[in-house]
Amino acid sequence: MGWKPIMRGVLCGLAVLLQACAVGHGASSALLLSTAWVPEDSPAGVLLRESHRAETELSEARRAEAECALGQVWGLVRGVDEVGARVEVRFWAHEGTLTLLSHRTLGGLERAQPVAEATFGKRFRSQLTSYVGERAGEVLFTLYRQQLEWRVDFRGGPDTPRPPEAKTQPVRREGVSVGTYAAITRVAGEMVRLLGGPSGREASFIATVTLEDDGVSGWEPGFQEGAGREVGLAGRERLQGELIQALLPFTHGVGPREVRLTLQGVLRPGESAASWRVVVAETLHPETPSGADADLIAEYRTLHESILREWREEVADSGRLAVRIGAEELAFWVVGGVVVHGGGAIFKAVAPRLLEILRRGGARVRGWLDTLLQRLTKVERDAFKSLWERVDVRGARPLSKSEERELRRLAKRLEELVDAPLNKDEKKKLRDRARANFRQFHPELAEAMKLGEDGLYEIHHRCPLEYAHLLVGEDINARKNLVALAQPVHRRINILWAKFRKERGGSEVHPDEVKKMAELIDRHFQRWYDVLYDSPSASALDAAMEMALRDVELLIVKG
Amino acid sequence: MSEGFFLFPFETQEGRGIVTVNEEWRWDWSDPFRGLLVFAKEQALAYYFATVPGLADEQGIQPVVWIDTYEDLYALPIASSIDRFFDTYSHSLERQVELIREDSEFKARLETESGPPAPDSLRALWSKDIPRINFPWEVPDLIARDESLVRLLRAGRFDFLMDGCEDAHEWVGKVLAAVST
Repeated sequence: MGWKPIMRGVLCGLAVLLQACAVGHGASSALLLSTAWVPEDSPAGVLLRESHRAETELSEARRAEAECALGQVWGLVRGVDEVGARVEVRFWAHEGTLTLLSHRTLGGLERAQPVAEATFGKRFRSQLTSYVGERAGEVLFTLYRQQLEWRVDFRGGPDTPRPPEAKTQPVRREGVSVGTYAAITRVAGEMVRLLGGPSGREASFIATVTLEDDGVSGWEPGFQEGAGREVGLAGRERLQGELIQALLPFTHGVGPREVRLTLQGVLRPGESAASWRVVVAETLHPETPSGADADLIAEYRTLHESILREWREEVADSGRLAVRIGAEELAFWVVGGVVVHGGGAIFKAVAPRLLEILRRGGARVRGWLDTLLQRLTKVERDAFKSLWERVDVRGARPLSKSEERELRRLAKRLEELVDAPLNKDEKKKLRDRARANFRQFHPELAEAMKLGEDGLYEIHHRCPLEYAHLLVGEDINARKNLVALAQPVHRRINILWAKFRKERGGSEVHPDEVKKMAELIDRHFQRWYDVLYDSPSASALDAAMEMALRDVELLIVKG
Repeated sequence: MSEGFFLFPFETQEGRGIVTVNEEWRWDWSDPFRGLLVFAKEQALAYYFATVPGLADEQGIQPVVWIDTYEDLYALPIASSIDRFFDTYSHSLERQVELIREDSEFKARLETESGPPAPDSLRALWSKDIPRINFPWEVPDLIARDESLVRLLRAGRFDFLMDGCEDAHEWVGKVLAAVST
């Protein structure tokens, strides 16, 4: 079995999404196996995806958003089986995305007949789609419990600025990851243990849960009154389930945020003792940043959301693909971390090109940045790594003056390298890495070719390292740019590039020319890419060389 | 060492021995490179090691160069003889071992300061990186220990193999600077 199928298997295995939108409090019944979307051509080390999203993908993502919101609302109302009860759910809508802002529940007086999820879903789905549509801004659904059904009212909210945690890019995923579910379950369990049962209807409890993206950073109890009554297992389980359903929808937001829960003791119809109910859950909004860093923070959020969205769609739970999360963390360090520590303006001043490229995000840019880092000396790279560790964006101390100076120096150094051609020394270093990458990407082929065992084959960069500086933001050592060739083929290709170099002389080469030239060579030689060389094909090779030479001449004439 | 160089065997079944390789070499390249005698190559990369017959001393011992065939050919002088080449290379391997040791100490220090790397974090990625000595580029000081080679370098005897390659001349400058320190 090759690396690709193994990776796909691992990813699919890890992609056990909990369809948390549609679950009750029995966690075990909530486990639904699903396969996360894994790109067809996902090598182990590099995921290359265009940031541009096709319309079909977008419409699928919008559909997933609506289904997810539907699941979230069902999770909130399914346990509220009292005639006259009212549940208000407030979302932020943005081009098909729905981010929960708050929900509040008011109980009823009389036990109602059960409502089937399918019945609820059928009705609410069409309302959700027709009401929300392309609307941008706050939307409020009020659900009224009647004897046999839920009636839904809809209205637009006040004209307020978009809250920072609201998504702007629809996510093609309906559940939450196992990790997120486990964290919320743990928090809910801790709350239940602390709370016990309410003494009566006067009892109340407030708690604040801190979230960051899909993760739960912690929680703190606030005001409480009338808590601590002994309560049985069934009561504890019901409360835990309710807390889980109350909190889970908030994990779909973006960035750091706090959610405040307010619980009150209620006397449910037909029950003799009071029990807790989550009456309000809402995201608290910190002050909007202003001043010089506001733009940078906004730019960062966009980048961060893009990466988060891809991550949510492609990989679930702790099987976060290394490259993906590496890109996110690095981007966060460079932009978010620096801003958090008050160095944003400095960084922006010394490395504007670098920031511009990093804003594109994704694995390709990470690979490009990794190459850039390879151009630093070992001492500089180690300094970078140490600094990165110190600038722990999730609540570390601010940078000291000397660290800030070092950061400025490193950023400036990297900025200088963005457009600088690679020197011979750096090319050798990158070829060493390319060889290692190739072995990782194609272990079986590398073995068959006896790479590293005095073999006949060499690693070739389809777009040569000579022009790497023209392809800013592209990972020159990415899987798609590396092929293994027999030496006779490689030598001929190098002759073609030498001809191109010679004919173009010292004049400036445009990146498009390099791409055209690479395509031309692909056209004539790709039958020898990544295959075992058959020496009787030498005459075919000579014929390919002859045609390629003619095409190179034409390309040069056309400019 | 799978990522270092290998010596061409006398001959192989596939015809990849030293005789065939040198025949092809003379066919593929023009002067002054066609006159070099290729004896080793980097694994899976188009970097070669060759002796320079034109610079043989009175005993017939030839100096060794490292050749980059990726773009316009150039060569870096790396030893006054094959013996010295092996000696220098073995010292660079010692340095490689030392580098790996230092690197693991550095990683351990980071771990002490910041705890183990989070799964799949950037540090976890870096932790898999094994630092490499970039031979010969990163070891001008080791090359500079070869006094006979240094004499040839000072006399500019290898300049004909470095025409138009600023990086190579700059590197030779580093070798010579390392002699005086």
